[in-house]
Amino acid sequence: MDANILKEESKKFSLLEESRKIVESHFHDSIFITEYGRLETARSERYGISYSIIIVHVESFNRGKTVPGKKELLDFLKKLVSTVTKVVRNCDVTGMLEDRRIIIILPHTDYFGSLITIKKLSKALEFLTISGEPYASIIFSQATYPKDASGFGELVGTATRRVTERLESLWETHDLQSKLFWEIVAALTGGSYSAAEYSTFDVGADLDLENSFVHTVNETIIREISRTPEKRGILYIGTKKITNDLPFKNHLDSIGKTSTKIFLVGEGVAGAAGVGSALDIKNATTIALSDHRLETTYFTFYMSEDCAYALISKESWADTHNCFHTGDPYIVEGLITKLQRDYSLQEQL
Amino acid sequence: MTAYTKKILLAISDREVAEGFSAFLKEKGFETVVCFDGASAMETALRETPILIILDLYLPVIKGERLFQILKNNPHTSRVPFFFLSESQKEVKGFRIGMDWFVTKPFQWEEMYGNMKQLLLLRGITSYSLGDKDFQGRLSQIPLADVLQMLRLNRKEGELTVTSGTSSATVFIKDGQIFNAAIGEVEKEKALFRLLSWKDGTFEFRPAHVTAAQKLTQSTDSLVLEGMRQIDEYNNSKGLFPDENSLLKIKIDTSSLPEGLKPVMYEVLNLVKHYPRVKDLVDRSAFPDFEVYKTLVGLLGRHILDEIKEAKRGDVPSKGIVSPPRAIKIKEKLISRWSDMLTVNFGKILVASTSMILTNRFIEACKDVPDFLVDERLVTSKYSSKNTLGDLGRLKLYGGMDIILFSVPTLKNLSPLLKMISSNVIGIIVLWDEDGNADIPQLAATRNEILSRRRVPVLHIYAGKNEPDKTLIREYRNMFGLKADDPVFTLSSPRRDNIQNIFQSYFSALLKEDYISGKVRAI
Repeated sequence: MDANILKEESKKFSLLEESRKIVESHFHDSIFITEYGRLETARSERYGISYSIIIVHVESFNRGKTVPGKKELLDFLKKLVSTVTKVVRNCDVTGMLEDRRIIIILPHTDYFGSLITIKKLSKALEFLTISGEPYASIIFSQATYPKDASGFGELVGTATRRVTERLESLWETHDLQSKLFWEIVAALTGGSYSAAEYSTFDVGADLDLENSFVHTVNETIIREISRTPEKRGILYIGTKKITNDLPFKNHLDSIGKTSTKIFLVGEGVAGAAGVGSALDIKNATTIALSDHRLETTYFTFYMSEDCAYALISKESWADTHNCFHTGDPYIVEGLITKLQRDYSLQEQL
Repeated sequence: MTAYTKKILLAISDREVAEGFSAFLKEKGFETVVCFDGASAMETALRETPILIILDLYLPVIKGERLFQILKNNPHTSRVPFFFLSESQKEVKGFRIGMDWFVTKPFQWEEMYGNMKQLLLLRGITSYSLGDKDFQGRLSQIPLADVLQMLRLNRKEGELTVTSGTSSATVFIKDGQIFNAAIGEVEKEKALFRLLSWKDGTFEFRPAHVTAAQKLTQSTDSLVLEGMRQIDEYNNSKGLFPDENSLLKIKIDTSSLPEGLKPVMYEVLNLVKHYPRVKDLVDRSAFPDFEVYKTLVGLLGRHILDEIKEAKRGDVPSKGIVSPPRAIKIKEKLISRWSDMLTVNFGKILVASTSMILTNRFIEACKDVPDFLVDERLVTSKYSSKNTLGDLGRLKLYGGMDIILFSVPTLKNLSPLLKMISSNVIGIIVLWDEDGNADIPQLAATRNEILSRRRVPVLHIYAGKNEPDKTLIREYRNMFGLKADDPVFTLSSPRRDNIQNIFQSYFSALLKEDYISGKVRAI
C-alpha cells in the first residue's frame, strides 16, 4: 500500500466510541464539559480572573504506520485518561471534547500555569508517546480566558486552531521533538528559511546587519521586559562566557525587579576582561555549562504572556554568523524545554 | 515610583461629601486623592494605582459605571476594589462580589469605614500597611540629613517621601541603608544630592517591604557627607558656573580627545550635541549636578566648549503638544480600541526608514516638540550606522503616558523580530528620500507587515534634503499605495512641515478613525 494512503488510513481511528466505555469518575462527556465551560466563563468574568483549557489531541500511532484495533484503542484510552486525571488538580475538569480530543478545564489558571500543566502531562505520558507500543503522537494546545477569547466556545476554537498550527509548525514537521538540543540548533541554523514565523539571516562586519545586532536584540528584549515588569515571562540568553562586560549588562542592571525569570547561560564564568574581579550581574541567574559549543553559538529564548521569540546565532567563516529566529511559540517553548532537560536544569516556565 | 502606594481615590461629584469623607479618612491615617469628575478620576487611578476607589455612580464627564468598566479591564487597576456610592440601589455590570461594595444614601462614615477596612483586609492589605506612618515632620524643623541618619541608626526599612511645593521625591531605605532615591525620572546620587538641598517641605516615613533595586551601594553616612560637601561647594562656586539658560557649543572635534578622561566628561560632550542648553544638559546627565557644572567650567576654561549667554527659548511653546483633555481622550481611545494593550503607560510608534541619516534628521526636528526626550543610547551609538533597532526618543503626554519612538530595521526575513517588538504599537512613521529609492519596496513591505498585525495610523514623511517635485511625490504615493487624500509630509525646505503639526495630524487620525485590533488595512 502507498505510504500516503497508509498514513491517511491510520488517521481514521475513532476514540469517541471507545470513550463511552471509560468509567473513570472524573472523566466527563462533551455535554457536561460545554456546560461547565460556560459556568467557568461566567465565574471568571464576575471575579475578574482567568482560566485556561488544554486540548490533548491524539494525532496518530507509530507516526501513521499503524492502525490499532478496537481493543488496543480502548486500552490506550484508559491509560491516557487515567494518567491525565492523575496529573491534573482536583479542581480541574477533564472530559472528551470530540473524537480524538480530550479537554481539560483549569479554573483560575493563567497562560503560564497551563503551560506548566502541559509540561507535566507531556512528561507523564511519555510511556505512551515514546515507549508505547504502538507509540502515539499526542499534540497539546492551550487557550486562556480572557486573553484569547471572550467565551468558552471561542476559547475551544482558539485551542483547536492551535492544534492545527502546532501540527504545521516546524517543530512537528521537522520532528524536532525527537532531537537533542544541539541537534535542533544545528538543524535550525544550518537551513535556509524565509517564512513569516521563522527565517534565517546572516550578520557580519560587511553585511546589512552587524555582529552587534544580536546584542541589540538582547538589549531590546530586556527593555521590553522592563516596560511591563509585572508580566510573567522567562528569558534565556546564551553567551560564550558570562563576564562583567557583557554588552547588555547595563540594561540588565537597571531593570530592577520584574516577574520575568532571566537566566544567563555561558561556558564558565569569568571576571571582567580576565582581571579576575568578582562577577557582578544583577537581576539574572547565571548558569555555567561546560560545553565548548557555547563558544560558537549565541542564543536568546524569550517567552512571555504576550509573545515568544528565539534567536540562534552560530559562528560561520570570516567573522560572520548564521542566524535563525522565530516567533513560533511551539519552537521557543520546545527549545527551552530541551535546554532544561538536556542539561538537567530545573524545568520551569 | 508607586511601588507600594496606600492612597485611596475618592471620585465623588458632591464636593461637600468628597471633602468631608476625605478629611475623615485622613484622620484615620489614610492618604486620599479627591477627583470631582470621571476623566480626572481615570487619570489619577492609572497614575497613582490606589488601594481602593470610592466611586460616585453619577460622576460628570465619564459616568461612574463606565469608569468602573474601563479601570476593571486595565491591568494596572483590575485588582483594585471599588466602593460604589449611589442615591438608590442599582445594578452595576461586572460587579465583583467579595471584591467590590455598594452603599446607598444616607452615608454613615463610620459604617463605611468599617466596611472599607474589611474589604481591604480581605484583599490582603493589612493594617500595618494602611496609613501607618512611622513618623513625619517638616524639613524646616529636622533637616533631611538628620532624618536619614536617624533611619540608619534604627536600621529601618521603608519609603521616605519628601514633598516640597509641587515636587515630590522618594528615598528607598532597607536596613537603614539608602537603596535608591528618585525625583521623577532622576535617581541615584543625583536625586539624593538634589533632595539634600531642599530646605522647605514635609517628609513622612512609612515602613514597608522595599522591593526597589539597590542602586546606591555606598553607606548612608558616606552618601550624606558627600552630598552635603557637593551642596556646599556648589553654593560657594555658583558664580563661576555658566548660566542655566546659556547655550553651549563644541569648538573641537571630539574624536580627537585623548582616552582615559573622566566618564562625566565624555557624557557631557555627548549630551551637548543633543541638549545645548545648560539646564537641559544638567537635567539629562546621570551625574550629580555639581559634578556636571564643575566639568562644564573645566571644558569652558580649556575652550573645548563655548558659552552663548542669555539665549531665548525661541519659538518653542512652553505648554505640551497635547492638551490634558486630549491626552485623556487618547488614553481612553487606546483602552477601548485595543484589548491587547499591555498597559496604557506607553505606546510605541515604530519608525522605519531607508537610512539612519533620515532617522537622525527626523529626531533632530522632534527636539522642537515640547516634552520630547531623545534617547542618546541609540542616536549616538556606534552601532547606529544602519538598520538600527531600539528606542529613539519619547514624547511625554499628560497623565503619565509615554509615546515611544522605536526604530525598526527594514530588511527581509525579520518578520519574527517585528512581531516580538510590536506589542503596544499605536502608530508607524515611514521616512524616505530619493537616495533610498531602491529600498522603498522593502520599506513598504515592513509597514504592511506591521499593519497586518494591528491597524494603526501611519505617517508618511519625505525626509530628504531637497524638495521633491510633484511627479516624484506622485511616484512615491504609488509605491506606498497611498490614496489621494492620504497626507505625505516633508522635512525639506522651503515647504517643510512643522513637526508639531505632523504629530497633531497623527493624534487626530488616532482619535478620528476606528482602528480595530488585528484587522488588516487594505492598501
